[in-house]
Amino acid sequence: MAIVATHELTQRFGTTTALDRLTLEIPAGAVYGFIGPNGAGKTTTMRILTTLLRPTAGEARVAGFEVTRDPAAVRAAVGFMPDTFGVYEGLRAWEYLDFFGRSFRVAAQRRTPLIDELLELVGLAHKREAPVMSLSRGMQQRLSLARAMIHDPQLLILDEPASGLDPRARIELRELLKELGAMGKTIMISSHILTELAEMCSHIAIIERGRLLADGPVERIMRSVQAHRTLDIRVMGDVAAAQAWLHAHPAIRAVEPAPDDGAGRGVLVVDFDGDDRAQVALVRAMIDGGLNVLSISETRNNLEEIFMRITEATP
Amino acid sequence: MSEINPLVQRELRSRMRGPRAYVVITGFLAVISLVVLLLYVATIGVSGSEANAGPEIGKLLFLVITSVALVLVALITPVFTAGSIVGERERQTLDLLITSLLGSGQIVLGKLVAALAFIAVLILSIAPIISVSFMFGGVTPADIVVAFGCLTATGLFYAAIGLFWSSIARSSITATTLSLGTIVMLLLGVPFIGVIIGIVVTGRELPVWLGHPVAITVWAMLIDSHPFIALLLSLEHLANGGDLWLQPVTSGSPLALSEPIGAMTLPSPWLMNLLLSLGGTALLVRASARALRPTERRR
Repeated sequence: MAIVATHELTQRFGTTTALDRLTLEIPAGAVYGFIGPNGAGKTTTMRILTTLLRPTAGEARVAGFEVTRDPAAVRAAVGFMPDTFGVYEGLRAWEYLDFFGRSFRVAAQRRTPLIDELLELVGLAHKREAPVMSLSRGMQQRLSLARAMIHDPQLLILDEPASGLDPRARIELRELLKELGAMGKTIMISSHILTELAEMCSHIAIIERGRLLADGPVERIMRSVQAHRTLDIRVMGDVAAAQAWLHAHPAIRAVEPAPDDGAGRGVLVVDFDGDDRAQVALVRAMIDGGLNVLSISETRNNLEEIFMRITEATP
Repeated sequence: MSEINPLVQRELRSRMRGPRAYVVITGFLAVISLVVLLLYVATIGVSGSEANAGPEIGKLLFLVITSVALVLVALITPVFTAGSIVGERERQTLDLLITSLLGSGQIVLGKLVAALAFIAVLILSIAPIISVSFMFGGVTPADIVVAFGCLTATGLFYAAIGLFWSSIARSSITATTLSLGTIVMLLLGVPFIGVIIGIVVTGRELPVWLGHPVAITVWAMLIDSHPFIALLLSLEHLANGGDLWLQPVTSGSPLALSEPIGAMTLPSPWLMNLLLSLGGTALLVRASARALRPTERRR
């Protein structure tokens, strides 16, 4: 079942089209990476899904509720973490969560244990009594995540949650999100830094200039853009001759020495156009051709490469 | 049992933790105390030997304390509320409130009630100073009802003005400037219109319809919308033996612009001021709530 479904969602600001007929679906339980450069329309989409923005045209449903017709039901179903942490002076960490618990009508007897559970989950139990203002940026982000979960929403929408965090805080946040994904939470997470999402997403959508370029399970997207594969082939002896031999092979589109091969390890990066069967035939042909092959490995393209390929193909 | 509005609790919690609240209360009481002290010294010097000076001094002290408190409430209240909603926008917390299950009305009312709770503390804190005037006599319980009625009405309506601008403006400075500007316009505008009308009507034969009850009511509403005028008229009305709640309008009354008029009764000026303030506050709260979530469909 789709927890988010948009159809032809369009948002215009004056003459600028921020979203152009966006149609996407987020299945329940997915960790959905929403990838695109700055200004692509990620935040606009998220603001529509959280009822902060009224779309110019099209339809968006969250947990079955249409965002403009039933905004209160949508708010109850969504936990939103914007890209900035709102600070309330003079509040302690537990008071901050207590305030939002009240705002989401969490029953009084449930609130206190829930706040402790959430602080434990985000690793801030020891900061329960600390003023919110005194927390580090990474801690504030984790507290913000706890806030977004205070009413046990069906969907978490996180807008650039790692922006402005130092590497350690980024890793901590990533681990936390992986944990939430493992708990079965549906998470929509945006980022323009693709490596941030590479490890944790089950689904991705690539958006640019308000248009959806690709979306679906990560594996499917990878397969669809990987008609050819990248092989790292390590040879012993005459590397130049091996490169020339490979270059002449009809299934090989390009051969380059590995960029980090300054140590003369004899690694060639090969752009190979073929499936598993063709790859077996290539290995046999290399041996028969007299190449001294030490190792051969397939390089998995990461999200960054996929993104570059998809966006390169866009006019 | 339903819980207190979360915004009221949070606002009071964070407001009373900082030093600002105590500085404002101390400054407020210091200004009033200083004025009372100076006035007391001045009046004792002038009328100290007169036999019936006590009640006169008491009335004068009471009027001055109430007026100074009214001026301060009129200036402090909008400053408190003008930063309330736009402050959430500046702190980037407004989106969090809007995406919560709090209704727009709850958010606006929460802000208003939290500001009024503090204003109530200010108003009640002058009780010991006002009690100085009781020592001289001349001040009745009805006078006190009038004074606190005018202070409450002013605090309420001017807080709503600040809140309204806060829901529209993009910065606290703009909201505060617009709020104080609106209040200055109201405070100066009503006397100005009164003076203009006074000049126009002097020595002229005015149309009969100005004696119609509707025209008189509109005229009374205009005059009584000014808290200082309402306070003075009410205290004078009481001093002349008038009723606390009602004022009869008869020939010769300032409200009777045209003669003859039919016998009619209106709420006393302070009560009229309170009713107008309640109505104005309701309208401004509604407008503020609408401005808060402009994306939602109106039903």
